[in-house]
Amino acid sequence: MEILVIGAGRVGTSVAAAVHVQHNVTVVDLDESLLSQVSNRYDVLTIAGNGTSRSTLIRAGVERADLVIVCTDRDEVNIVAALQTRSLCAGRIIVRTSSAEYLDAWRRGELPVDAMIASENEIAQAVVRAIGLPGALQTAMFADGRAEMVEFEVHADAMENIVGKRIADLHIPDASVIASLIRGDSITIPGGNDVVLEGDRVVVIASPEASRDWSHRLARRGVHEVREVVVVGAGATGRAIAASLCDQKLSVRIIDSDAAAARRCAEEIEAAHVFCADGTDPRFLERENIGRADAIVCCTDSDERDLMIGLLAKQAGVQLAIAVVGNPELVPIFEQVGIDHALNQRLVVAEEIVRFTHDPRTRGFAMLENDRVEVLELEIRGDSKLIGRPFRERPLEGAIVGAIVRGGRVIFPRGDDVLQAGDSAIIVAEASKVPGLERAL
Amino acid sequence: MTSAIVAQARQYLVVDLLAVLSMVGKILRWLSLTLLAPIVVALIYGESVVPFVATLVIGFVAGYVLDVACGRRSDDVTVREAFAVVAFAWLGAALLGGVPYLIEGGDLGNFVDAYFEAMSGFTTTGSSVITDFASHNNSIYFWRSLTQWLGGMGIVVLAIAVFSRTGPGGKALLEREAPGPDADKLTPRLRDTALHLWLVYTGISIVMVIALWVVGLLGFETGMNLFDSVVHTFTSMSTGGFSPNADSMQSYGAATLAIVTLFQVIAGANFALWYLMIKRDWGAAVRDGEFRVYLGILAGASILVGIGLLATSDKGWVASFGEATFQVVSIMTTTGYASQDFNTWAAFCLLILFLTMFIGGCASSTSGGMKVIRIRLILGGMRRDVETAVHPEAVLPVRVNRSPVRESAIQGATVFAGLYLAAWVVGTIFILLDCTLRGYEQDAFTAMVSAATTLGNVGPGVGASGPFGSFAGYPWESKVVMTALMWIGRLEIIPIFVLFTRAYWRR
Repeated sequence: MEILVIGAGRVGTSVAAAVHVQHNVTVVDLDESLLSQVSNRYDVLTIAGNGTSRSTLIRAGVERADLVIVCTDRDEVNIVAALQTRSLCAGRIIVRTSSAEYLDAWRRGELPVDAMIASENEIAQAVVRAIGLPGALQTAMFADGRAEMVEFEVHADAMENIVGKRIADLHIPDASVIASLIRGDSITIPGGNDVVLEGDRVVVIASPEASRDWSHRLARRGVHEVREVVVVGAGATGRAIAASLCDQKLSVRIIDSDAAAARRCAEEIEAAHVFCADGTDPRFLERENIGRADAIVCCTDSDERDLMIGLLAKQAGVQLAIAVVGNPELVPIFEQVGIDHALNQRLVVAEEIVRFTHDPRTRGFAMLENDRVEVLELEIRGDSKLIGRPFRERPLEGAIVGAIVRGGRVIFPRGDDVLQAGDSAIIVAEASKVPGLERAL
Repeated sequence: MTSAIVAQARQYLVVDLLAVLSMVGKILRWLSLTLLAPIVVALIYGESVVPFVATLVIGFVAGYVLDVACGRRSDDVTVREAFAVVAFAWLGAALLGGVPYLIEGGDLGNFVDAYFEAMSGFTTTGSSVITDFASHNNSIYFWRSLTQWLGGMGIVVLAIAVFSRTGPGGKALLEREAPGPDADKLTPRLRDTALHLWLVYTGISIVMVIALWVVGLLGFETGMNLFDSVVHTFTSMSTGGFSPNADSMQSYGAATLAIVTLFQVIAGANFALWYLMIKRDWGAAVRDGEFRVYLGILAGASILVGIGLLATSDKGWVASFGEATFQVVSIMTTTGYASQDFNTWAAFCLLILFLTMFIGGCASSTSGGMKVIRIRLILGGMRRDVETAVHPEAVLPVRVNRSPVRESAIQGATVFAGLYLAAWVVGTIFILLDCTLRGYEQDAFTAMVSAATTLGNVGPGVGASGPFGSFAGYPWESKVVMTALMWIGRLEIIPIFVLFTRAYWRR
């Protein structure tokens, strides 16, 4: 596939990183130093020029592109570049935005692009899910939020101890399906006789209510519901996170050392309490009782500070520390040293964008276990051979259907259920099996 | 020859005084045409047209000569000149407005009294130095009310509405004259905005005249005839408060008073709201935070005064709260009618009325006082500062109508309140000192109220200058000070104080 990326900032670079191995990628940006960084690290072609200019786009081969990803830092530039591209290119166009207004305009069909991705919103949703589901390792949303994929780790000291039990003996809520069991490096589609061990990870596809139920049962003892959150860093990401948390009726405090950023945030988010202070200042943290909060979200510009603040907060007694990390390679390190969740904007956005390199019927997409497992929301073709076969017969090899979206309703299938033409299915599969699955469905 | 002098004069002055005077001349010329109205009234009643014809001629010629002598500049000035234009135009307007009183003679026949009465008219104050109400004829009362109606929406706004074209200076002029911290531009073109404001103002006034007149015609109570309806509409819609009756509103029935109350409330609110509502945006007033607070203060103060009346008099519930509401609305909107001699009310009631004088109505209304929006901004800023004492790092934007306001707006409101109170204190001290030296009997509260009522453009004071009294007894120096306070209060202090700073006149 020919992919054109306009904008070599953080998002553009991560997109290039995610897709350059399988596809031919061209990156356009005004800043030549950014371009040289990209071309030194990844096998891509770089073009220096203005992405909103017709001649630059033609030079970058826009007419041959199958997929154009517009992801500069500026929304207006992105929209102009996308409109210019639309007139030159028949391929699909994805535009990054940080504005909820533009996103709404696209949803109403007023912008002639195939998708709009709000990276800050994606991260914010991930943080909200992590806070709403204590004990969850990873979450993703499908079918417009009517179904969720959640990964839990199994602990012996959980509210409900399931260590040593057979899957068939577990009380599984109606609106949920256990989609896979991950033990060490091995991933299995669980059968009724499989036994759950300490340290296993279970992947559940469930309705939002059922996933909350799961979370209550599998959360460790002493972990309680989050009511008070502190967000450190009032940049675009911090603001999006704080706004989403306020929507969930949580009490939110925001800290930023930059006076202008703090002011802007305070003006934008009425429900939150904003402080202009250094999040690493122990006296400030003590004076404002930051340790009394239930969760802290660190999303400053600097990963080091995020780590520092997260660890200080944990020390002070905060139950849940979440960090939004700039460098994806730091994610496992953060989680090793005591940050509960390290989220990476690039991975989140790359997930969204990689979805577009898949079959066009793919509606939703998530990656687990470093892309060894993929979760897809896929529309079933009318002539698929799998239609009408009950799930008891295990029609899909190496994959499981976690949920079926049928006419606006979400069904969590049991053995007797069958796929019908026109359904969308949320499927958990090993990454290597995905291309075959896409053909079969 | 003249052009050479003009060019030379211009070199020495940073502020283009000639442009200022030329503009003032134009405004006065337009303003003098409004004298055609009392001429018509005088003809209808068969009264002397001399005072008005003479004033019209004097005003028109003087304005024209001033304009020509200063080089006939275009209809625009720069932002700096706008301060001086507005300040001088209002002084000039009062000069023009006083001429008919001087020509008529009687109890307004000396310069200080005529100027006081005219300034009290244009600034919509309503304080009067008339002692013998029977001595004046209908056309004089009509002119006296008309000055308030003209001053209510603003004479500069009126001029802008008729000017052929205005540029950035027009915006500055509007801002200097408009009550409240910001002038709302309703339409892209300034002239249209001025025109629309005047149309809304005129439209509501016509409705009020009809309402009052119809109630009077129905005859179930002591109502108003057409003349009374018109002059009282002029002075209600402008929150001025002049009345041709010596006993103000005392003789009218309850329905008439209710109509007057309602239209005073309307006049004390932001006219941009009524413009929006005429444009079928029905929710405009409900959404507006300042309007809600304004109604809240009116209701709260009415209840307090009502309780005071109930406790200290043998009036029933209905009469107590009815009279309290009328009086609170009349004082807080800075109109200044009286349905009762509130001089005799309990001290508590008087104090509440006195305090509402400082609040006034909403921004961009015809009322005086400090304006509800400024009070809100200042209270918001205070609350924030108290909270910041507990949480020094907290960032707390002050919100009005749920949207954050600029820090400079809070600072501006606070500075304004400081200047306003300073002007009041200095005015009070001067009046009391003057009365002491001149042997005019005056207690401290009366002097405080007299300064506050003129600065806030309210009208009646207490004691001898009470609602059915007169300011005539004050020594002339005190009258001059009160005239100045009206002028300062109407233009909201800063455009005038600026003229007394060195920075204004220096490069």
